[in-house]
Amino acid sequence: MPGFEPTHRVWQKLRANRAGLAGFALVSLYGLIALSVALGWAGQEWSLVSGERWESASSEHWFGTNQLGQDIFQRAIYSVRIAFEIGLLVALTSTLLGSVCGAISGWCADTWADDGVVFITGVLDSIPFYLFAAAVAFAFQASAWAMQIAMVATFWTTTSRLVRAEVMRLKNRDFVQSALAIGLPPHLVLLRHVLPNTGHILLAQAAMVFVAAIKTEVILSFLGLGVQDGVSWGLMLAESTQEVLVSQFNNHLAAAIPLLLLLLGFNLMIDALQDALDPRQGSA
Amino acid sequence: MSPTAEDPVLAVQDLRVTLPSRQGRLAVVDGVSLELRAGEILGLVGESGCGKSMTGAALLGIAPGPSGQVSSTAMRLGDLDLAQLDERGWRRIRGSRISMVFQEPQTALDPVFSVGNQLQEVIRRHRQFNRRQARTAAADMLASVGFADCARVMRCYPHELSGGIRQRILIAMAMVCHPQVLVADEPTTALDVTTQAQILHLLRDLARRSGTAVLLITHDLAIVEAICDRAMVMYCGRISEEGPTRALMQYPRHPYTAGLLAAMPRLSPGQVEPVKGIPGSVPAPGQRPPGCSFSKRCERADDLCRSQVPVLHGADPAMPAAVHRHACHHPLVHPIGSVTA
Repeated sequence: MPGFEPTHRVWQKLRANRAGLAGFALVSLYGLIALSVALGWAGQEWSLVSGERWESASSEHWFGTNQLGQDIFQRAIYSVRIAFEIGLLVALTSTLLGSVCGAISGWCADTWADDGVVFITGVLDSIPFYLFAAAVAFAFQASAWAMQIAMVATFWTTTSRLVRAEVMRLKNRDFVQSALAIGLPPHLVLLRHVLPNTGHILLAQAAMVFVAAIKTEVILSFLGLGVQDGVSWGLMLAESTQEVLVSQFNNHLAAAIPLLLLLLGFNLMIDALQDALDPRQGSA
Repeated sequence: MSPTAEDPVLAVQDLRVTLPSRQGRLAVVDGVSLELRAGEILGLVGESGCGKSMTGAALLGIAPGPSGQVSSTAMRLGDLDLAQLDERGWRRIRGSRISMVFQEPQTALDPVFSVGNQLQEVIRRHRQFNRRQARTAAADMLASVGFADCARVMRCYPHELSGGIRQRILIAMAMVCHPQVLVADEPTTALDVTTQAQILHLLRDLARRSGTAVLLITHDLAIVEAICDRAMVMYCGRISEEGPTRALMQYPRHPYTAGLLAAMPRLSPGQVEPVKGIPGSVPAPGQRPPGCSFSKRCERADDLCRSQVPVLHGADPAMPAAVHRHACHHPLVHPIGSVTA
């Protein structure tokens, strides 16, 4: 008989996972920074030339200045906002697209709808990822959304295939049959009973897409195909390729270390989330 | 409960369920007719694959898979003609006037929603209740299937509950809109024996109290003997024998029924007879012999059995359903005066 609510259980599992907690703390810290930049409380002077070239760290310029005399701290902070913006947008869009396509495809397995979705995901997956992302970003260069479009186009396929497999597994379960047997129409059964059961997959997958999007954003920006009217760790790294030659490492480190910590935090958090949310674990 | 002459709640004539195959459409349920009266429990017995679950699902208008088809010459629920219903019409009936309990209580509840949530979903689907009314109705239903602390049970999630408790909740979900017919598909197969008995008694009490007619699908003759008023024996998609439980169990007319009864292990003092099986196995759909589908496994079979399909004897609409009927050319004969039909 019952002892506790499952939401309690998720928290208990999360609390027990120290690495996961550290990941959570790190990601929330970044989240706060991104939010305060977005609200205009910090990082607003990222493009301002506020000092001499390559000043070293001081109370005025915490991480020193770059070749142009811009404050590196301000730029590194502003990059967090860019990273989160793109990560969130790409994660939400590709999860939405992937879960809808995957659910339809899994529910209608072995019909033309399923064949179509499987064919499209297969085609998209067969193209090397960074090549494809770069090609799409290049093709839509004029648009501010080029990079986001490229990422959504490649990331939704994994979500779609995961959801498809899970829906195919779930739809033969008795609870789906009994939902039909209480008079629910199929689309409501899919929406109310099948999709909520893929929630743990969607959440973990969305978090993974979030990380992948941030990484890809940095890489594409580094290559000059990404962020255009802002600053990103990728752009900072691109600048620093010139600076490290003259032993100026501030710009490089100010981009690389925050990126490393964010990715580390996210990976720890995703692991903990997956363990805590899986409804198949710890059921009596 | 003695059979009455009152009109059946559910009357189905010549129900067929067909599936496509390489040899054309195969009838997995091949002309089943049945009648259910209020408060009655009818047992539908047969080996796995004989079509009993398909029959049960067909009564809810659910075809097996997208390519399965259900047809019948007549299908009436009270004064409602089910044969005329479209899919929308069926959805209004399902869960409210005909409902179903499934075999696996482990998987028949949605793991991500609480019990109360799922019960209220059924109620709000079929009744114009607000949240509070639905909650009250759900709690009342849980109380009537034997829960003391309903509020607590409603907050629980399926994985927190044992198999027997989950099956009670599934029965509550099926009964919450007071259906006229309940199809229970092997409701106790996944449970241990003591829990089985509780669930069976619960089903019988609910049927008697609410007047719901129950079609109990099972492979276990002991269950039929324990709670069914009437029983139908199904073989290869057809009804081979039908009658009041006692008559059918004591004086089986069809050799298949007799074989099933002989294969039933019994504990009685002084009796150490080994359990006898029926030779051979159930032919797959598509490999069924012409004539009587049991002919290949039957020691009484002759050329007539192998060529001509036996009809359910006494399958006369004017005849009361309580009569013991069988579909056999050479039925077992019992001493005169012993047959109670």
